[in-house]
Amino acid sequence: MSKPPSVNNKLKKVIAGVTSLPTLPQVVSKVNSMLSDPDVTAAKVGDVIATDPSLTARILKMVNSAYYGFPHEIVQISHAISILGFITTRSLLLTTSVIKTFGSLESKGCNLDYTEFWVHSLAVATASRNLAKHLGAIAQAEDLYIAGLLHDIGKLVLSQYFSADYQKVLQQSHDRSVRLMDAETESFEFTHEDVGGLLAVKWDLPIKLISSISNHHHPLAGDENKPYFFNNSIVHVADMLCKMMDIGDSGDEFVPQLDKKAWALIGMSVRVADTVMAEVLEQKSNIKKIFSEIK
Amino acid sequence: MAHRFFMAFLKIKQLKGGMVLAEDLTTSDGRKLLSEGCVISEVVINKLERLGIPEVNVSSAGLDGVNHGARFQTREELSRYVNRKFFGFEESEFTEQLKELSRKYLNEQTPVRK
Repeated sequence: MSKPPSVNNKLKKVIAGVTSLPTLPQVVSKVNSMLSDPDVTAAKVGDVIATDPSLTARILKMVNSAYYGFPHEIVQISHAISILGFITTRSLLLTTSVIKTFGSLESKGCNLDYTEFWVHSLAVATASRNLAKHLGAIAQAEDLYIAGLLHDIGKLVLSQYFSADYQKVLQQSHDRSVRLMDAETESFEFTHEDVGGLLAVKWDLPIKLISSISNHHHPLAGDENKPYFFNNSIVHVADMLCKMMDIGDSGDEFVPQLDKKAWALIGMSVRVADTVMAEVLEQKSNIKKIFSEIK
Repeated sequence: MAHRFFMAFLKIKQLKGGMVLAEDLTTSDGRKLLSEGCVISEVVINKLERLGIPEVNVSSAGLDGVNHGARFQTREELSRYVNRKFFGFEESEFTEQLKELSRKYLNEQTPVRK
């Protein structure tokens, strides 16, 4: 979302005050750049992932979980990659890394519930992926899974680096029945969208991901985001569907205000909403299991 | 805003992360520990246990059904909850359809009692 320069400056100043924003393991960016090489092999990618033993262990644990249901235990990371394929491997790598990165920072006192936060995020990821499948955008499905997973990442930065202030914002939203976004704007002059976007830039994530994180409440904002309007809109609608059924808790008890143009843009219907909500609900216990295995 | 949902006094051992305080929690000498509406995390539960707080008043907002019966006692309560979630949405047939989906899937997770 485009902001007046003064707000951008304030946001930058606040973020600059955060001495160290969380960083992703180096392996993630290495693998990301390797996957753009047409000669890449599962063995090569496996070698890089294997340099991070804790990530390797988490990925193997996930691959061997009931979610994938392979008949034999997979013990080699290169074997896991050849079974999952590169795109799913990348999703899995990013999912485990991000959850692990934030997991090491303990949230203080009465603030966002870490488990419920990730259950919501994983639900939005699942809903985004499934919406892509139902709305004829299957090629975007894995990218949208990641976009859904990371859409609220700014909230984690706010709740962990501005714990006391953010606690007040959460309380304000609850007490005065205002949406969290509005309470954030009142207190900070920026929102979790802006902070999440900055973190995504810092993490060197692809531009379409940055756009979805920065615009999931305003999916059609900014001409420069036009190529990403479709993806932004999917995440926007997926977030709404998950909030409608209270799967997980992102700290906002209200259904986000729907952009009906975004709904129309992706060819959404109440029937598809019903289908995707049923699918996400069916995955709810799996989502909780996945989280408990990788946290 | 208070008493939107039914409330229940629960022993500290019965608390689970994600439950919501139904009223301010104060010590016997009047010191406020936590505010109404605060979502109770595992960290908070441990603290309360260490402080020797016997029980707290939680609202049904964060209850998961499995912990303490149904999350909503009646269909009306479920409807009120959903209406609040959708505040600011225009009144239209489309919004009604969305609310209907919301009620359907909330009820599927934790069916109303009556």
